[in-house]
Amino acid sequence: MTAIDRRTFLLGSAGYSLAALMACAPETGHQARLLSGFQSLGKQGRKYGVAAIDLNGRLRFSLTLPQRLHQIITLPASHPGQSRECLAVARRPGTELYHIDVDRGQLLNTIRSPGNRHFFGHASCVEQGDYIVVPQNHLDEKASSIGIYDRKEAWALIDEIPLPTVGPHQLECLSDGKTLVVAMGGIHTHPESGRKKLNIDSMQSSLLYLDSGSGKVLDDFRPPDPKLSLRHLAITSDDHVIVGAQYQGDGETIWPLAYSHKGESSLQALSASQEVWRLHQQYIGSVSVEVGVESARFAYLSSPRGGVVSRWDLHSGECIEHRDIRDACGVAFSNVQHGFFISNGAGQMLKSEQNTGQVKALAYQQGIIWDNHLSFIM
Amino acid sequence: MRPTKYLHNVNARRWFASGVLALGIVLSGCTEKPPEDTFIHRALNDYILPLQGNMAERSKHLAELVTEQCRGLEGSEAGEQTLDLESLQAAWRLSMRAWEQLQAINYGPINTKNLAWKFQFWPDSKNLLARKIRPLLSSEQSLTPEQFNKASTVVQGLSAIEYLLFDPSLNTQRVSSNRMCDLLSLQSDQLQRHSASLLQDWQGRYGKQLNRYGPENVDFPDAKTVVAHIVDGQLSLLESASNKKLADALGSKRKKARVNPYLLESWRSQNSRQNLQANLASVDLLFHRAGLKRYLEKSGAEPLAKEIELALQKAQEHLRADHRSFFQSLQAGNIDNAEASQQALSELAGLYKHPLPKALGIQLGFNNNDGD
Repeated sequence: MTAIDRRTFLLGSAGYSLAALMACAPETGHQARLLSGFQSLGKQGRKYGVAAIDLNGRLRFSLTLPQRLHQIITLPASHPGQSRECLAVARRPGTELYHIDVDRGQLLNTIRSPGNRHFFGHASCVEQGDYIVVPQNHLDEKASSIGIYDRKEAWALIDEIPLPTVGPHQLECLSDGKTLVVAMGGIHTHPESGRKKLNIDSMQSSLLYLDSGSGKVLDDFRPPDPKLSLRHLAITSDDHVIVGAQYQGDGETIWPLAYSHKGESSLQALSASQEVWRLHQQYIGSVSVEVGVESARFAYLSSPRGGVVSRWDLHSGECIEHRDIRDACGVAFSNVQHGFFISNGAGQMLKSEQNTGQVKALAYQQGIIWDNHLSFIM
Repeated sequence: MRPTKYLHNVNARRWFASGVLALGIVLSGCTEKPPEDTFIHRALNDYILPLQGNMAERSKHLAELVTEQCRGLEGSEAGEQTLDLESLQAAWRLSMRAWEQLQAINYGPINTKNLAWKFQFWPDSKNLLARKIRPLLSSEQSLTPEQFNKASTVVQGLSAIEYLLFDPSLNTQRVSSNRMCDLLSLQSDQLQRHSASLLQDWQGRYGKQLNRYGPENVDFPDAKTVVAHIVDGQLSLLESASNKKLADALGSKRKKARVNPYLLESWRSQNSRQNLQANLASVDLLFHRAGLKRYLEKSGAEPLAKEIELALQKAQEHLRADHRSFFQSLQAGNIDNAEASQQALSELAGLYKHPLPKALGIQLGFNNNDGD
């Protein structure tokens, strides 16, 4: 467990890359990194950025960036020997993607959405990382799309796939490299109305499958209540989709908040008592599953509102256990590290062992808020 | 080196070492503990443990009273003898007061064991209580404690007991006292067990964990995190008091305000005003006796401490200003006192939400209320 030195963190946050410092710091373990958007609270107000922590809990770099971040996606190497790279996605109503060299801790490129679009904080790679697909909100009409950005063309926007409804949130690509699974939250928002939800009474959420090549909708599955806004998802290596919901109805109704899907004719609710769902306070902030393993067994759901992280058995579809972790939201799996990493708004990074679920502290920095999502890069 | 010189040096070293040690002791005696440490210590010993102890005691008293009264019914013919509702109702009110004070301690074992709903099922705008409890009262089959534990949380805890002891429809339905006893015994025994287990957990592992904050402690990596948990609990209590317990019944959050007294927390017992008073008694206890005020002053925030004190007093005065129950007042269309109380609670909650965390340098839930 390492308490990150605040001065070091803020030095990085002041806009200077710490790559040079980090190159001198001995690597006692491996090169793996945990990547997350952060906010730091200082006398000069809030600062946004992205930071990388190694598995000894030490800060490897931090970069201050203009817009608040949501998900950090890792990019496959485009050629041998290339530095590891990631893309940090601004959250709604942000308009920027930041292309970052993880090894050098350097910002390589800033990609901006077209003037009449903003992003939703999520993106995914398709075609072995040659393209990235990014959910977008249209500002001049009540519509949404998935923007396709070409890595080889300096991240130029080369196409848009129109979506049938509004509020796309997280999306991932199936193992075929081209079928997209999109959590359609169904909520209409517009920057002029701040974060206000404009269509709660008529909203309809769904899990959408579509072909990234043709843009054709392949399937569309609705949750049992249209107000179960499907927002975050994760996919196992054999295309088992787990999607988490945020309920927009009254505060007393208890619905299952996570659904599984793998070829069935409808979404399959994960199974837990009403008391367990109540603990999640109608809100799933992040979903993570085992990847790179045969017949993935474990999934994690986080609910920062409930201050709880729950562990699920995908074979039975049941909740194994839950643990209260204050303001926890980011969850990332590492097959090599045999565990799920968890980050929270209280500056903590924790590790939960893959087979036992046991939670241990990894890193802590008072005054640093880890934003909603966490990523792992080898 | 000659032996004498060597001895001399050893003695000198001993003297020097003793001197340093003595000076250290003197200095450590003079050094004041960090204000966080003092506050955490007092919060545990003067707030958390006494409130947990009170809950355990009150629920034990309620369970014993139920046992005693129900034993008195054994062997009597149906309808021959009835329960002394008044004394049971008084015991319920004391348990409810203890629970209302405890609601700010929404961290630790109550969360880990997921027990909050087993203490109280609320809010209940769909009147699930009546829908779930009535079939149990008319059923011929008795529940075992194991079956009861697995039953819906709607039929467990203080709201369910309130339904049995206060719901006006039960008086007219001539529910058998024996049937009432079966359920009341299961409910009050369970309440007593859960309260005792929470107290035990706080006296043991959780209390220690709170004091042993540090980088390896998953729940409390430093003192500020402990403070943040405690303050978060206060804010959550105050927001619930202001919003769920009053604003919803007043319809304040709707576009077209519509007063609905049945959305008050304890409308059956007409105890809602006392519930809010108990909430504030809890906030008062932490602020004054357990040292939150002193901690703020030590952190250089005397004006804020004073402001909170005045806001707390104002909310308490509004709640004391009218002796009628909120249920009666709202039914009669007299909403002035409820509105003034709600406004005062909201102002107090506002102080706990922004200026207080800023003054103490703590971060309350972030992803918690700013997610996506």
